[in-house]
Amino acid sequence: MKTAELIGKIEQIFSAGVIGASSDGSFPCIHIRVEDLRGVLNFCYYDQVTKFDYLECLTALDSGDEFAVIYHLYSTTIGHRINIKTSIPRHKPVLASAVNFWRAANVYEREAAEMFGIVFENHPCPEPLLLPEKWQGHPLRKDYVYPEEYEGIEHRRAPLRKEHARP
Amino acid sequence: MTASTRVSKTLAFNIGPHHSSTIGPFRMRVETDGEVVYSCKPDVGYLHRGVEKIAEKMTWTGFLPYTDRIDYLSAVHCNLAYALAVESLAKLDVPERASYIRVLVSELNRIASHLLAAGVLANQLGANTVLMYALRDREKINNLFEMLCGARLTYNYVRIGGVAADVTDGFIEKSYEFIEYLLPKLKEYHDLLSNNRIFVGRLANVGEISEKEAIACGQSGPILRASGVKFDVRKSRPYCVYQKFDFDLPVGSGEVGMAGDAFDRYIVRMREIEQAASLIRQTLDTLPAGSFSTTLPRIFKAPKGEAYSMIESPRGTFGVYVASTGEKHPARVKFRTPSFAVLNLFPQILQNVPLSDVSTILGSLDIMVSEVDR
Repeated sequence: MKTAELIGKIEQIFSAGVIGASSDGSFPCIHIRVEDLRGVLNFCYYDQVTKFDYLECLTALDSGDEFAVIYHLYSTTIGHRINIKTSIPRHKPVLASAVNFWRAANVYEREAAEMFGIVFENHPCPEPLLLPEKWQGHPLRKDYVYPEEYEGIEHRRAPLRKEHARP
Repeated sequence: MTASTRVSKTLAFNIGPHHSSTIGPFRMRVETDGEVVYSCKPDVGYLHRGVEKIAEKMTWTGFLPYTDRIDYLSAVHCNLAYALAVESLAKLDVPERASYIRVLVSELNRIASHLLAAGVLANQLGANTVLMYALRDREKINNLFEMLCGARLTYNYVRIGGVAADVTDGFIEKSYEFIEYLLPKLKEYHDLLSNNRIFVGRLANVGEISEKEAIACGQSGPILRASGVKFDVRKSRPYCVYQKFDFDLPVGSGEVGMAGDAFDRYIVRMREIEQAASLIRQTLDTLPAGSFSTTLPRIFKAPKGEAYSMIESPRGTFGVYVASTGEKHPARVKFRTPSFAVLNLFPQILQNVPLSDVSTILGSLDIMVSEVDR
């Protein structure tokens, strides 16, 4: 099924939950309200028309006042794909885990959790993955403050010489 | 002590972080009961460099050399995936010759990576000769790349809008020579490994991944194809000029054991080398004339928006998501790396297997740790 048709179908079923959609351009994507995300993912995974059995990637990003999470889905039987985006408030970054649909979500959610501080509820293994256990803060947040030392190792840079400084 | 009163005692120990069956530091906490591994917990992050954070501080073009280091055994693919994502965001047209050259260098790099994968796997099982043979043949590809762009490992050759330098007549001639050289050599590998009873015995029925499990765990590339799924980005969503070429997708069928076992993953890679060689010959035969790159403005700014592009790297689907706010710097760059998804297979794939099969399974998965950690 074409991406435009897929997006149209989701808009038809979850009309209240759709915030925005773009079916052309470099990134065909449908933006879903977080309350309806569970229903949409359920529809994408189980419905015979969509049959999205493959979670290719899960991207989290910080857009300033809120976080966004994108599910890049693909169907190995039908061969179509879709990107589903949802936004969660910065003060309460909580989202239900998608591991019960796609086991592939496991490591992606663990990465998003440590990099952005998003809490994935009912995740089977909510532990840090790439960062050291004692690491403070969530590095991919835009307001992340770089630590000046770690375990007694200083890593402040010498000030840049004037001719090398960025404009 | 009779068998009924014996209390089984397990032994927990580390495999890694430095272990010869992985390329890079990768630690596994395994618990064994005698010779059998009954639980395993992978621990990654020793090579985490935070490239996604670095990207937010770099300019669009200045970030390209960092992508080389994500997977230094297939640097061309990392460059290409990032370049394609930025081009699709900025709606840049790439000259046809550049697209052909991109196919040519990606396939050369695929051969280099697959040769090393087979060599390292054989080395795990004690067949050190094959690794030396693989390094010998890979050296010829490194020489070709050195001729092309001066670098032997991290090329920074594919650029946004094209490639860094045009191919020369000498390079084309040497590439033909290399293909002529490689194809008979492949028979040597098959004689040493694929037709070797000991090697086949070690790989058959080991670490099998069912089709369903491979899809559920988000596997891609040779691992997914070895499990019987005919999925390849080059076919399902052709990029560059792959739609113009004729090539097959080798799929695992369980010819010596179960479908999706370690042997299938090995043989799929070996057959992909043949396909890559055929693709190189086709590109060389049909290489069009023209320019090799478009000119970018001195300060390149991608327009506001987002894009996701993916390519088939030797290890599987390599996706790049880029978001821009119209600045000189990316707002977000996310790499979907095939080896990272392999972590989803743990611990199931190493449960209840003999300890001697651990390195076979790890070698057949071809995990690239720099790609896992990024």
